[in-house]
Amino acid sequence: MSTVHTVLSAPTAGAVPPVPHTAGGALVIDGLNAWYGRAHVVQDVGFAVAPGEAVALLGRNGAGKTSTLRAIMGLMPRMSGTISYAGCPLHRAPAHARFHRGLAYVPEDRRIVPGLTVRENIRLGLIASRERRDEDTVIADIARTFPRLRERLDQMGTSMSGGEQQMLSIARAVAAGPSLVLLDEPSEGVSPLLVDEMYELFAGMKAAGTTLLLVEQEVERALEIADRVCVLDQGRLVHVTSVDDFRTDAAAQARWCAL
Amino acid sequence: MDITLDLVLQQAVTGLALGAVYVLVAVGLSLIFGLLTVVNFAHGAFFMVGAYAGIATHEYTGSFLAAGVAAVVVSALIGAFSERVLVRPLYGRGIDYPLLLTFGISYVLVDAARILFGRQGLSIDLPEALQGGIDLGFGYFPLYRMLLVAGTLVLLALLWLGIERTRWGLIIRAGARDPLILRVLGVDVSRVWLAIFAFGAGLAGLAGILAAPLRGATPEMGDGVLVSAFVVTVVGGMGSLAGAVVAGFGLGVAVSLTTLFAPAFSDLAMFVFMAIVLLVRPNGLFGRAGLLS
Ligand SMILES: Nc1ncnc2c1ncn2[C@@H]1O[C@H](COP(=O)(O)OP(=O)(O)O)[C@@H](O)[C@H]1O
Ligand SMILES: [Mg+2]
Repeated sequence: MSTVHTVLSAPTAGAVPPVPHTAGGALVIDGLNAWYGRAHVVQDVGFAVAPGEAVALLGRNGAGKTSTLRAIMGLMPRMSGTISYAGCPLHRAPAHARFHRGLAYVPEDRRIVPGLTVRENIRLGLIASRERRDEDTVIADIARTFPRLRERLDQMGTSMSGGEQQMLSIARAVAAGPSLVLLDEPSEGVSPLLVDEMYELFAGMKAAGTTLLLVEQEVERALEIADRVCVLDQGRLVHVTSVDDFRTDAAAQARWCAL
Repeated sequence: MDITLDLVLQQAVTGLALGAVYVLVAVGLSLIFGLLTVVNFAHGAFFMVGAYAGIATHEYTGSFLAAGVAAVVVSALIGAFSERVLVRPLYGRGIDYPLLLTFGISYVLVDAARILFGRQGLSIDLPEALQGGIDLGFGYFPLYRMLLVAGTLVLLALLWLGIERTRWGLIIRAGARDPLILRVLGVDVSRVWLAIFAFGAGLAGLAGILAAPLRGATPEMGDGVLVSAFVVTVVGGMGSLAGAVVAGFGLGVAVSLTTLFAPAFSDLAMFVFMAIVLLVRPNGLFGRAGLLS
């Protein structure tokens, strides 16, 4: 069985592509609706992400991107429609059960737990993992893959810079070796240098067969790694296309993604 | 009256023993509030349930150990039932719903005790081995009270180790800060909440049976203790474990010494203590540091 760390270190390790994850399958979303109170923030959204594929979910602020990811992870107060992953229906499963199906979620606000060290935050990522992998090994692997966290393992997670906290949030989410990672604006408020590092990690995850659903404001960044693009506008899915088509479609970019 | 140093020390030990009981009750109250944001008004009733379950078991078995185990198990089970069946449907509705509900639970339990065991109360004698006192060189102290304080300190040390060093402890620390991230990382938080509620109730039950040899058991015995435990959690800082420990022992000693020097004010002492602490530190002693830190 592969570990996410061999996965993450793929680009630097080079030559041999690591073994893909277990149980990766397609994510299929159909007729998805979600509400906050009476606000209908996701409206009849349907799309699929193939195993190993990276899909960029784009759109303006307030378009419903975060709500869509939250609905996939089981965190919306109210939703309807169907979500399945690797053939199993997910939409009735509680959030923690979705984790055990191989989903990981890196929230927009990072959610580093205050009062816990970097190491403890990483341990949280393993705490419910059913394969009881040796914690020290995993943390050593993570320290290798995320050099920025290595020297800070025993410092409080929330004492780090925003970018480092984002790295920690990603490390924690992938510690248990998920096969599908939902990323919500990972580059937001992160220095360009760290964003480069981060996208190298994503490329490594993708090369190892991890499926990615990536929400980004920085369209160019997202296009570097994505295979396809889905665009949301006012809660609706308005455009699905290949990266190459989207990159050359200035009109579409201006219409749905301009700030 | 002649107040000697010896008497003051004696009374201080009595105060620490009282404090140990407060701490055991307040720690559970604090954990339940910190993780579930439930202000558990049934906590005094769990204390009472522990005392009755222990005394009843002792009557059948003659064993103090069995009495202690029964006190913990019965109160933890009633706590677990209360959380799973009664409190759980109220999550997400604001703090007043579970507050009123647990208030109701405590009425039911107190009345059940009156029906089952009568209104007049029961008592339990200490085993021979624990009666009497020990000579510490500078005075002669009641053995059971000393053991109660020492046992509570050991239990608190174990609890602290558990929270700082174990996997469960990490879940508790994270759950108090951000239950959402726990769910996303695969933890079924409803099970954590159930366990915490049962654990807190079990600790209250243990406190009940430990206090029973000193003050007997009556259906209403939990009322005063609940008030004291609330004062302890407020003084210590809502949700802070360290605060509950310091405030619990501090309050026990303060009440006890007031009883010695100014008996008329012993009931008032607790609230004066609370008022002074809150004037100096509005969030309680450890309020700002937050839960379990
Ligand atoms: N917690 C919330 N309560 C109520 N409305 C919300 C909440 N979060 C987001 N919204 C609303 O839902 C809509 C979609 O938001 P969101 O999914 O966060 O969009 P995006 O991530 O694309 O910026 C917005 O109109 C936003 O104001
Ligand atoms: Mg968003």
